[in-house]
Amino acid sequence: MFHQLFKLKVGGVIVVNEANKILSVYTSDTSGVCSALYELDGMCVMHDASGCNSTYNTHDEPRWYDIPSRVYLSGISEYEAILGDESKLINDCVKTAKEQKPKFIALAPTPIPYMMGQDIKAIAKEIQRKTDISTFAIETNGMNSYISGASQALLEWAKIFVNKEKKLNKNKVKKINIIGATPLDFCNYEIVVSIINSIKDMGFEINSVWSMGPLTKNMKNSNNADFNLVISSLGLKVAKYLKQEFDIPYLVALPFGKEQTDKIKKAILNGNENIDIDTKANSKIAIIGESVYSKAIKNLIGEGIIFTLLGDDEKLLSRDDVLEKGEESLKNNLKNYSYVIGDPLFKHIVSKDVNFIEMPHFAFSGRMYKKNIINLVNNNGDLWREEINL
Amino acid sequence: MIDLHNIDYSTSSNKISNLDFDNLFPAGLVYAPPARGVWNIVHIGFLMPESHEIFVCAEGCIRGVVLTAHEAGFESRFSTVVIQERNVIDGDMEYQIIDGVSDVLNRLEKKPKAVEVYTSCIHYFCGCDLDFVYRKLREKFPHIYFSDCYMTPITRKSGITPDEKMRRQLYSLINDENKDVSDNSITMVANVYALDETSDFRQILKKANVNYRDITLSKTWQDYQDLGKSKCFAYTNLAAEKACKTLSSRLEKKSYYYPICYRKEDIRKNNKQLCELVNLKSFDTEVIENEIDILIEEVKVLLKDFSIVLDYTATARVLNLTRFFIELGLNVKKVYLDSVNNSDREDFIYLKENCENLILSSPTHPAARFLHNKENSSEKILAIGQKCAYFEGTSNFVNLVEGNSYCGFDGLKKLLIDIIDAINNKKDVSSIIQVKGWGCNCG
Repeated sequence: MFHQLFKLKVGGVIVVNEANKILSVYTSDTSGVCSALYELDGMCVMHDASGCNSTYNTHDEPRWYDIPSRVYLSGISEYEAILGDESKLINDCVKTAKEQKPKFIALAPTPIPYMMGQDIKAIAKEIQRKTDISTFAIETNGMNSYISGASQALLEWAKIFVNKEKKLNKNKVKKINIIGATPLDFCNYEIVVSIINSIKDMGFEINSVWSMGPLTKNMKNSNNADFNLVISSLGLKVAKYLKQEFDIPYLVALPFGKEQTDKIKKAILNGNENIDIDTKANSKIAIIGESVYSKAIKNLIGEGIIFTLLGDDEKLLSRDDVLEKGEESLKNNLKNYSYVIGDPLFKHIVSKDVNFIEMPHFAFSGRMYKKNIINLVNNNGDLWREEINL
Repeated sequence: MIDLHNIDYSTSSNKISNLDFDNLFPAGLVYAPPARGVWNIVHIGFLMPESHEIFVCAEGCIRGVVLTAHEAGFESRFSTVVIQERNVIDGDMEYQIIDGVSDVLNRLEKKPKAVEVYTSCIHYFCGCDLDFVYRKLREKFPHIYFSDCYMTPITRKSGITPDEKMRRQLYSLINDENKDVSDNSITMVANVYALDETSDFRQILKKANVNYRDITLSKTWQDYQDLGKSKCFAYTNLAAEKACKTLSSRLEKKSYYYPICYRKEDIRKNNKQLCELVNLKSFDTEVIENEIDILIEEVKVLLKDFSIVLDYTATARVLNLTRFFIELGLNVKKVYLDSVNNSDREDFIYLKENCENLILSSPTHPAARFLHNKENSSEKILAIGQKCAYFEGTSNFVNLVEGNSYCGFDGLKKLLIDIIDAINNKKDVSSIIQVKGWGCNCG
């Protein structure tokens, strides 16, 4: 049977890649949509029965308690699903939108609408027609990671709201869009502030930050930037769009440590889309996580093999890095390494002989290790490297 | 950022006199406030001693439950099988469960006595043959008991709710052979906290020489099996009714409802009925009732300048508690709830007739999203329940979750002491209400 393709036989026993004895899973695509659009004064509707909202606001959204945003659940019922009743979703969205007047409406479906084959894009069109508010549907189904959902959400928002005409920057100072800031990768907002300050210290001006903090207000003028710095893989789609539409070059990197920061500065000045940092081959250090973050750590310490369970991340990996299939495979592969850098929850599958260096990632362990999230921007990165003494 | 000045909050609330018992607020988009003390199906499942939970669902659904387990410290009793797009398309759901669960069990160093396998909405909709799945699993692992559990929120409006179903399935592995045993005990069914030893219920049982059993006190598989030996099964909360009645019916024993309540006459009535059940002539409550009267006077003085707000997560009898306060002459401002359960029907009718200005407010209405930021007045508010503490922005807060372990006059006395404490000592609401499954330390 076809399903046999996704199993391995180890010592006569079937190992199922989808089975996790103990590990957590990453934030899903639906939460990714809401996280990316949280501060943009819209209305996000997760089209789901129940559960997605509490998962999102408990484990995926650290702003929920203090910063208001319109993130709601449709509450689809069994009968609506079976009878294909789309009118309730449409009417509920229209009613709330008329009461609350969001700037846009984003729909993020979950497994059941996906299974039912609901035409979510047509539903979005109908809501837009009835409210006169820009409405878009994201192709989510709760079975992909936050990178998939957030990157699509930012792209759809960009297509609607980014001004279409490119203005020439008459200043000599280059304007930069920072793309990919969400609490899922940068839960501690101070890290985003450090990145902003680092770019400013390079002598550049920040045009906008996608999509956290006060500089989100200028996202619609992203067309005016000279360069895009992509700081998470969820920013890649929109960076490609801005390049295609406005010819803005982009670099995927994070200013962790002085060397990387200097190279980013040079790349921006020259309009280069790559930075070259020599890293040692055959490393005994494993780095687990999102690929942009992990790559910046690898560059900072000068070596490492990246392991990721994020399928949507694959295109940013280099040849030595590994797209992992599941918990058991990752556990077996990590046996070959002396050091592992990753979210503390990965400790559960790492042998006690291995030196584990904690790098909490909100999109993996949620709020559990939020207080221990480390800022590696600029000199902080160098200090951390000295401290861990690899 | 959202402009909070032009939001119409009024649509989430209404006077009780304008509302119908069966349909308080029309269903619409749903908001979820960040109050998380109520136990979910993961916490409840862990009450089964020596068990292991395995959830089979999509990544988005797993995220919440796996982190629930990790946060509660039960990660070693929790595993998952992630449904991916290819599984939905291939139609290999049955084998994915069988192989995934088998793989997890093969990897566990110590095999559990029982496995609670949670299937999801996807299985329900694709017509997954769960009978086949469990038959195969039982064949492969003959020494492990399997319980079919469900995370199917899509069915929450069509009969038994997922919460009720979970409470019911928690007892599904109690052996049928217990039909033939009937010792002098009563088992409390499907509550999340054991009733206090000093509670009226347990004191009455003690006085009548009847033993008290409770899954929350069960430490071993044998303790769990012994729950079935009692002569009677009781419940205090309507969410446990189906669990209790199913178990009673299966083991051919009596089921008994001792509803949590707060009004003195209701408590007396409950105690009288319980005494009749266990053949106790009387249960003297004069001393504790006098103590309660003294506490009530103190509460009345302390609450002179306060309004009281309550929400449905504090207790299954939130309108009975509201009525208790109103009959004392206290100022109840608002009750947050989306629906009223049948045990509170009489109290709803009373309040509608006698307290027409009482506001009922939907905690899940989209407009409720902005209440927390709106409420920052100097008004003195006592909140009973986590959700209303958040909405009202008050630190004078009683952290009552599903009634806590309180019951009878003893429970009322404890609640009054908590109220006095809440008025005198402000609480850090944010750090308390964001803890998931308050008091879940059954591992």
